[in-house]
Amino acid sequence: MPNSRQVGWSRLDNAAKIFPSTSERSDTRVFRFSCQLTEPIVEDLLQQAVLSAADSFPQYLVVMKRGIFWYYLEQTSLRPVVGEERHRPCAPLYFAERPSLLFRVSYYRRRINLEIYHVLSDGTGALEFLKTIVVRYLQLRYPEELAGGKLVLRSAPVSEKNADSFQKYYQKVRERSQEKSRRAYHLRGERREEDDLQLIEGIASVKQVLEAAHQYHTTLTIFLTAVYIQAIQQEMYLRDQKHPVVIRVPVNLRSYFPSETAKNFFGMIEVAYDFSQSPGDFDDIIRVVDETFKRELKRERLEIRMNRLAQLEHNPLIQLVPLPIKNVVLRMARHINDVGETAVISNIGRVTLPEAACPYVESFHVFASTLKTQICLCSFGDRLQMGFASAFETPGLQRNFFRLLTEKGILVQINATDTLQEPAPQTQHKGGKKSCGTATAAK
Amino acid sequence: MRYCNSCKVTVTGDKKRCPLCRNLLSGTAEPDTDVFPTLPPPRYSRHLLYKLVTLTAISAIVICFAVNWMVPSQGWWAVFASVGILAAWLTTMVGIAKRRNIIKNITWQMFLLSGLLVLLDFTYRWRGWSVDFVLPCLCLASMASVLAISLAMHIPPREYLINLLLMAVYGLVPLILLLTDVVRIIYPSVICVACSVILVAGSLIFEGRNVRREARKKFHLR
Repeated sequence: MPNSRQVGWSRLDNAAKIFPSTSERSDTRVFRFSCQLTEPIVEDLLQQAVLSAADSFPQYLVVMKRGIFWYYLEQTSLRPVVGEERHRPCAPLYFAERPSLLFRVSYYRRRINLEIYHVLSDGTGALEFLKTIVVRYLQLRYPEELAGGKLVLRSAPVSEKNADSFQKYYQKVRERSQEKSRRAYHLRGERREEDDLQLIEGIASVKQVLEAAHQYHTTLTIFLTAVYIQAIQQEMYLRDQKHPVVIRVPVNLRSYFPSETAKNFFGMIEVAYDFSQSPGDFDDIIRVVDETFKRELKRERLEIRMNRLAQLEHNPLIQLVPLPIKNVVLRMARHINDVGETAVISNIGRVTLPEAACPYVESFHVFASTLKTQICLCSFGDRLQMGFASAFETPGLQRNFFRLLTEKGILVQINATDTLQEPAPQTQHKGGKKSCGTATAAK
Repeated sequence: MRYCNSCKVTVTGDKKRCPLCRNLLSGTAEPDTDVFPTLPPPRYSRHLLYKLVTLTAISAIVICFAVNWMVPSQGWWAVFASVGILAAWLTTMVGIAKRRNIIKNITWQMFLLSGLLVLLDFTYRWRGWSVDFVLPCLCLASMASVLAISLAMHIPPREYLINLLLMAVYGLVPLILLLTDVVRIIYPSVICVACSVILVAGSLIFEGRNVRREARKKFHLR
């Protein structure tokens, strides 16, 4: 009898296990992928496209619930509802008191935004989902131009997309960690009053940035990472320089371990630059970043890091701790881990779409929630997007970063969410009553 | 498109100042090129009830100590009172937090209240009333109310089975207390244990499959 109403459930993958406990304040662990089309979005068609895309990603049609020891995902009959953007960027998606889907699709003018809780997926999975939504939308929007199956997005089998690749490649590591983590330099600054994020993105030409990178005989990623480090250095006080700048870089493990999962499958590497012991000029930063990338981006190195992370989940002592206590412990562990981190740079890389879709699409955009400042990079065609999300009131690091680019002759276009509210202009009057009146009028 | 002369960047939308350096922008605004809507500031204020309950609890504790200090009495009874107030505060907060799910709420309250009342009994000259009456009666009451509510509201078994079983297993704790002679008045404890055993047997016989599936889900370790 109850079998007919059986509800499927699944465990959180290894990386996802830490996210629910460590979602706090401006770091909601929600990230945003956007796609800007050439024409304004039609809501009804987008709604249809989202429903149809969600059918191809059944593992995203879930709600998160609390078990005794871990959270888990349970299938749901809830379906996404598309609307004009009305939430703050990367607003929370999980609420303890009521079940809700863990992703949100909104639009504004020509832009489609997909916001997704990191528990569901990492950037690669989310991007596949957004691409599916965009392709379905274009099929509905331009049925004549795109007739005859010109638009086909290759899609992995659902079972593949649902696989937990961390489990598949997990091996117990025996050796203890050799590296001692040092305290990294931390950006200073007032947090934004509302504890939310400010988004500032710069759009530049891929060609121009590549030309600049080639002047230093390096790649685009290494070049921009070096610019990022230099921009951070410009924010440092002299006394801060005893601490190294440590940039964490998420790495898509699918490029190293065959997998087509739509769940999380990424690792982190670290690039450290110590301004107290190095010359600190741009060429030297590039050299260090280049060396670190070459050393760390190898299957064997990533494997060790991945297994070390997975050990946490496989530790029987941690497994047996009830969830409310686990939440506290994991949150503390996260803050200890954060001591060794200055900022994060996340490169999604080149986004590709089927040839027929390209004339209707202008650019792709990425932002990730953070407690500090984080940059995400992605490119589509010749448009490179550099998306900063920041929990700080003043965008010093962002200003340095983009000025370093424009100094090198790169044209940058800035899009930003609202910055500090300027107080409404108020003229001073002699009578108290009058000035009161103007103040209200100005509001 | 607007332009910032100090940052040398173009800025979309109709912003007056550069988002990077806050200097005034030059050029003409193009309001329909903005890519982010202007949104009202977020409201992260916690539920008013939380604030009221917390302030009430703090005031009550402060008043207790103040009165205790002013009025001559034997010892610091305010300490004992504070433990009681803290207990009341905690269960009220949990009650508000879980207000949308009555079954979860009952389960949490049962564990919390029984724990807190044993603690209270313990801080105030161990008289044993908490294990004699409170623990078994709370268990019995929770099991009865969860059964009654879920039957009346037609809640599917999978939603409440695990909670009911947790209560029933907790209802076996008085058995240990009986066997170790901690309990002096045995009637409530014996009745509680008997009901718990029947309840566990009943759920396993009628809903065994559901119980196993729910247990795998709720209790999975890795």
